[in-house]
Amino acid sequence: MKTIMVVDDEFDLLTIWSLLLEQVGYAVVTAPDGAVALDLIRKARPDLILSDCMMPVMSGPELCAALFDDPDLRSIPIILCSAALDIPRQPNPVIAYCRKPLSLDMLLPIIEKMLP
Amino acid sequence: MTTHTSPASRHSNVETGVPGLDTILGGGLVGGALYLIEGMAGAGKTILSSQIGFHRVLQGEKVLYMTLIAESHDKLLGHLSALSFFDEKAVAEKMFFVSGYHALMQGGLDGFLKQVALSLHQYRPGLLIVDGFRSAREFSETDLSLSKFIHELNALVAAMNCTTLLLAPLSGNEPHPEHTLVDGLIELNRYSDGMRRTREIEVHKMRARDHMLGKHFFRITDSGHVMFPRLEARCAEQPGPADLKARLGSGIPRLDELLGGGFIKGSTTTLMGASGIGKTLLGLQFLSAGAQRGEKSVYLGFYESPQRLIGKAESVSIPLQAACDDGRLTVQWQPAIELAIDELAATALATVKRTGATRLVLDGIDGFRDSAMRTGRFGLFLNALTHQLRAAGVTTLLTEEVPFNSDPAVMRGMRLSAMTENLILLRYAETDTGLHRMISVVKQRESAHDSSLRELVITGKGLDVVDAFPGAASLLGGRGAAAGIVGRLDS
Repeated sequence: MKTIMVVDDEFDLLTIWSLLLEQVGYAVVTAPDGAVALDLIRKARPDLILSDCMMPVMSGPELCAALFDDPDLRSIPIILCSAALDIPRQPNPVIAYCRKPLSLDMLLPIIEKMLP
Repeated sequence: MTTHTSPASRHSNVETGVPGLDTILGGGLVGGALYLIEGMAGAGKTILSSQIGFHRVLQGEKVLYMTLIAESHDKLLGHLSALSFFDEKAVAEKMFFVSGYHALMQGGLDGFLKQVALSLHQYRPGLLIVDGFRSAREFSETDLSLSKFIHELNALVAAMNCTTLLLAPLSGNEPHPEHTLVDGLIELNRYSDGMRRTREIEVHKMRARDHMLGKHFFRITDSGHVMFPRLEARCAEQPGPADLKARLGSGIPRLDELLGGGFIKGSTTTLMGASGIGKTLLGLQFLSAGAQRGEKSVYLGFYESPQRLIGKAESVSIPLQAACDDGRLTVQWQPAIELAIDELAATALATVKRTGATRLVLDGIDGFRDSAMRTGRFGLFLNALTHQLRAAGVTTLLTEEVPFNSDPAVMRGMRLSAMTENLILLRYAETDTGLHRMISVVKQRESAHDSSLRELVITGKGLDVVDAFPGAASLLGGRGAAAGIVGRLDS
């Protein structure tokens, strides 16, 4: 079973994406900001990261930069999300950008493409 | 690299299909939003949500009806089957009924949320109805836990693009945490006046929609809910430039002379006078004149059945039977019992629009007023109604009864008459030889008129307006009052 890490400071989104992604067959771990996420990623590498942009302590783009700087973590696929119109582009090799609000119908094909 | 966006456009409109409701909501529900519908037992929450559900099925969506502690599914379906929107074939194919009660009992609000997520994934509905939401309220240990649940439910249904209705008992004036967290709050309630009760809907909150504030009357019929957005709360359409030259003849040349050539097209006129003075006959004469020109007309009255009315007209040589038979004239009779003025107005407007009528008589505006449950709104209501009639291009006569020999300037009807552009006053003058019907045009807002006093003569040969006999003015019940009315209306 592949593992998706969901990173968002809004607790309701962590709850519902855990419920929905588990139902379609993924294991889910969650983190409320980029810093907690980075700690968890270093302990157990997920197969994909679904992250918000605007978060306290460490933002989504900062998390992307930290992952890019670590050769062992650089290749983890990332879906970077924001409610803002322009999502800052990141250097990570496998990355997709999604505008919030997210829907399962939008997200699933992207996840399936990144996690064949 | 492109940014992916949700295929469902933000704030997509979800029509409810309930007559009048989408207007009240400001267009309809918002796709993927969470709504709370509150109402006491018997308020119509289940029927309303089911009606919306079956309408969404007709639009090609699936609907999930999830019950907590509410009616059993077989009872629910049994009750719904009596309503015309119920589609037995859709049940279990497009409209699914499941219970969330066990999940709530065993897993609390978290367990229930999980069940909702599972069911949304399993059935993929466009609309979710949660009936008996009271159980979830009672199951929450604190306001915070309920707030957290509503927050998560809101995010869940948004992610699944599933518009959701929560049905709950009325919470009165108590603030509930969910009121701030849902996207819309709709209340179904009743209004009492003596022994009468009417149903009312109020939309307290509607995110992303410019909804109509305040209360609106509704009925539950065999076809489900029918709602009547308050006329006076609807955005007034800007009237086009008035065509003051186009006139509609009354069929009585001397009356048309007083009016400066007839009734101004699209205007509203009150015929005011005591019982038996000829208001209804004048109205029927106006409709008959239209019918003879091939125009379509509508009569809406409260006191006389169509047969009696037409018989009465024919007895004074006002031919109406043929026009009634071939559809030039539509007669609607609403016995003056407990009526809803919003429904009456909607019926009148719909009939005018459906028939393409150019002439309308509302016989007995008192019938409207006596039917009003909230009498304080009647003036604005009448103003809104006449505005809509004008917008529909129909020329309208209203009749209003006043007591015998009273001073018209202080009668209760005067403020209402002020809302129509024109006022024709009918008064009795008593001489040694009998009663005479006197007629005068007191007000015509948009053009000059002749305010002379004339006599209305009603015989078996028809209606006519002739010169007043010498000294008639001094014999009027409300002598000199007409001048007073003009002064008051203009001030």
